[in-house]
Amino acid sequence: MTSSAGAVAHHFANIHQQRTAARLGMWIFLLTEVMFFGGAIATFCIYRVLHADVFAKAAEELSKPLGTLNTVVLITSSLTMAMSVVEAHTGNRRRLLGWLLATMGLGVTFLGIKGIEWYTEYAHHRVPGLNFTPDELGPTAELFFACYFALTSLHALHMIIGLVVMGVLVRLAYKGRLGPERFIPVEVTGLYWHFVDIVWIFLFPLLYLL
Amino acid sequence: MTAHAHEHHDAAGHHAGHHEEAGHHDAAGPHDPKGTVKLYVTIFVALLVLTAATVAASYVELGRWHVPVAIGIAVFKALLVLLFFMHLLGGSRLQWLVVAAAGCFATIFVSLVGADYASRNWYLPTPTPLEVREWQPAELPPASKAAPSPAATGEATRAAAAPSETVSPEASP
Repeated sequence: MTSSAGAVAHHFANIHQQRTAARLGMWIFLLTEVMFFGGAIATFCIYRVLHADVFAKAAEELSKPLGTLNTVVLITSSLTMAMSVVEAHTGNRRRLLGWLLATMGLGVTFLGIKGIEWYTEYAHHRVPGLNFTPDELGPTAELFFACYFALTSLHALHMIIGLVVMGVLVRLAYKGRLGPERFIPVEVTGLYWHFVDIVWIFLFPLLYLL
Repeated sequence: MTAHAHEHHDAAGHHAGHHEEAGHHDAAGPHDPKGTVKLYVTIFVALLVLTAATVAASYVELGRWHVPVAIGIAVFKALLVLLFFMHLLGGSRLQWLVVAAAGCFATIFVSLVGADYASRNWYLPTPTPLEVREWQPAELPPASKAAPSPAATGEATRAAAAPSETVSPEASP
């Protein structure tokens, strides 16, 4: 996007072509993300099948209530993000700012709860490479926790990136530079945020419930 | 501002590229924000109900249906987000193409990795499912227990890697 609201870059025929290109770009980026998370999740699934008993017992050490709460928080943040997109289209600056800040707040809440979980696991000596100590489950449990920390931290990293981008959106909205003529930044950020939500929708049952 | 935007929109409507825009505008556009919000809230409630369902199902003894139910609900939730929050429903054909490509390639890659693991014992005279020996306290030290069963021949390299893994927890304290 160019700096002035609604301006068409010279290589696009019109604003609609430019918007279609912006959306397509985000969708293609998300395609690469599917490959990225797909590989990581497939790794977990294969070890889950090969070490079914140990993985099932190690997964019981995770907090189902906190995992469920985080799922609800993230789904709610997807709703508030969708509302931000609506208000970017209608051009209500105050509501747009409100929904964006609500989304950021929910994102930070998710990371906070995740941090509590991580700290609990650290306190129980369950962090591979840091303080993992095998108990009666044996060293195979370390494999589970290696997968768990890899997947959840990659997901958290994506959320942090999303929060930074939303911080930029809040700044733009505050300056009145988002609205009916320039909603694409909010829309593509929404696509990204919903994708991160989808990743968690798969991680939650795989890690906590199986 | 708004009037100008609509004018611009109408003027561009004659362009060939506009048909890809139309669906998206109807879904998230300013034309019917109230209906859009209603749809979003419905989807949100559905996602909450499905989350409750998948958590509840994890406490029920479902046997071999445990995993299919959990994955099935997750796929359904993902579809709701994809179709409605991400506006794939009513999106352009290019978006569908990208999503289909992602789905196809993810399926191919995951199937090939799965096929590799599933078929690793197939070269044996009597193919058996791949078994991984878990660490057993009674098994220590594993080096003295060299009694290879006929099915374990293919596990030679795997078994060789296992002892170093099994000794370390005993050695560290």
